[in-house]
Amino acid sequence: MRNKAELAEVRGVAVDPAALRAVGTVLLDTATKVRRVNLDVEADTVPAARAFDGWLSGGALDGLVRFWQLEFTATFDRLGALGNGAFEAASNYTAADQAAHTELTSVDPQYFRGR
Amino acid sequence: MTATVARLRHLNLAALEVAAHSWRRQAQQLAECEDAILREVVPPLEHAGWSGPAANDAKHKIGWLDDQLRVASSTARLIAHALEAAATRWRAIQNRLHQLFEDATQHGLLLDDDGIHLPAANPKFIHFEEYQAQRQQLATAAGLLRRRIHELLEAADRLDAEVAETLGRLQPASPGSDGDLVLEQRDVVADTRAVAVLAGYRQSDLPEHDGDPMRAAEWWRSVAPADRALLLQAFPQHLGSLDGLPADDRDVANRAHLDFCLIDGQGPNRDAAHRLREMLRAADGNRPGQMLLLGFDDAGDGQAVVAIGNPDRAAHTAVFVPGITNVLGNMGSQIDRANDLHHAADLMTPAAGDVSVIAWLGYDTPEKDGSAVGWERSRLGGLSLDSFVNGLNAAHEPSPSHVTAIGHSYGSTVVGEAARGGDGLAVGDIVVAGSPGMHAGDASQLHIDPRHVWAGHAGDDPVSGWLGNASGVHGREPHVLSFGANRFGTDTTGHGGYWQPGSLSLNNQAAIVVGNYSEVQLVHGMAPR
Repeated sequence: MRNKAELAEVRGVAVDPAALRAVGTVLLDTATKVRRVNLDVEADTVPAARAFDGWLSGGALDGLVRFWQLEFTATFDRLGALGNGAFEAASNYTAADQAAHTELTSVDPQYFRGR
Repeated sequence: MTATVARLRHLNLAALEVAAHSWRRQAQQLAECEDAILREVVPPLEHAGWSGPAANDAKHKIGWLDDQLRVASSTARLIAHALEAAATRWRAIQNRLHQLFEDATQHGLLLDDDGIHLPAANPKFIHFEEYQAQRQQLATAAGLLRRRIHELLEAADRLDAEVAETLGRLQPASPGSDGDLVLEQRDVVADTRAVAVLAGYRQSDLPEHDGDPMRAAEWWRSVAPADRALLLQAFPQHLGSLDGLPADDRDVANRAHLDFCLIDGQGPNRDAAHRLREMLRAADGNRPGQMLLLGFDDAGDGQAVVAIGNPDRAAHTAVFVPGITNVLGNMGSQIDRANDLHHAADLMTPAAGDVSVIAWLGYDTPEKDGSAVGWERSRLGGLSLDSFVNGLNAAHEPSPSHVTAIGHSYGSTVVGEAARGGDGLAVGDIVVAGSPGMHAGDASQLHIDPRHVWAGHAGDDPVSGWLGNASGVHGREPHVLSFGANRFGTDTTGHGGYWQPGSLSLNNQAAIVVGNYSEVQLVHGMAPR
């Protein structure tokens, strides 16, 4: 069994899983906020686009809603993935710390690699 | 033509205003998201001890997302502004239409969604000449009103096209993908300018740089606060260097211009601009040593004006004018001197924030060539300095502060030019150190009580010593008795030592800056009481 200090030697660092979990929480909360903000703005802009139905401005407002929805959905997904990744990393490091039989090099979440 | 009377009459502009409000709220919330990542994600992640490829990727992605949120927040704010401007202009057109309809009603004309009509003729009177004449007058009035309505509909179509084009610019460049943020940021200035134009502001409407700073200050106060924020981003270079605007606002504009130059530029001053930005950021939040960028230009040798402490709120402000070979690349050394003087002066005042010291590289300094013995650079620099100081006074609330102009080396000729020309330089004191001359025969030519002119000279300083004396091209050295200025004591050596921390040379200048004249150690002269 390797203890925490020995694990730290493997990578030269001592990872704090609690800090990673706190970071994950902020990222997931931020993702939720981005999602809510986008839904609100969409709900408020669609009526304006309808009010200008037939005008060029109406089409432009439609475009704004559509493209920003795409953008914020992607942002929501990215923030969510990063938040979950932080939780996954925290969980892996905690497990490795407790079991102390896994090389730290194998506990990094795969999500981040090659993305 | 898209616009019709019916469409224009029934256009629901309140929906546009609700949307504008929503985008503004979104901008604020996105900024809060960005702030949360900056404060609650980045530092803890750095200290969590997490490293390796996955950690690096995560940190990189978080940094990218933070930038993304910042760009999205500023764009959402622009969208809100564009929608507000559009609603205002649409409402003006709609109101004019309603007014034309009221005019038509007063004439006894009939109105509906198709426009203006003549009432049906009364068959009983149709053969009377007087009635026919009245009908003719009514037809003429109807024709005139129809033409005005037609013009209004054309204006509505033009506005519609302008609004659509502006909103089209504010869509994300590549929605949903890992777009090029640099490209999007580059577009922000052009996009902001388009929104400003929609809101009725064009660069040609802004006050000119060679105008009266007092008028520029009045104009700025007349601009609605929300519009000011827009204009600072739309015309950062113009407003950042417009004398008379508040220091905080100039700082916002110049930092935006600096950022833009760093995104866009590949010029020789790129590294210097980058260093300047790092210095500014390092000082952010450091009151009273907060730095404000009051001027920035990356053209040529590059220029910058950096204030330590806010001059609009300071009781005492010093403007430090450097000499030859100073360029953007060595602005750091000027800022260091300003910092040292600020620190020394601030210790002499009762409260922090009483003093502001400005490193003013606001002119094209001579190189080590013939230009250093010429007067042209100092003449042009003097004009700029005069305007800058007038701007400080115009922006200071509630009344002008005590301003001191400090010229070092060739910078003292710039101060001299500014002081001896026109109605003088609007400062309370003039200080020169290592001066080869001020283009004046004596202190009385500087439009200021000679007791408020101060000169320092280190014994081994060649510029204010044998070199200045031998060349004589810049006039009499101001530290000599016959010049009529106060000569303050110095304990430093060489031409560049006058701002050495803890020195008598520096402390004497600091005492003058804060008006503590009795504390100034004099070699000759008479301090004001």
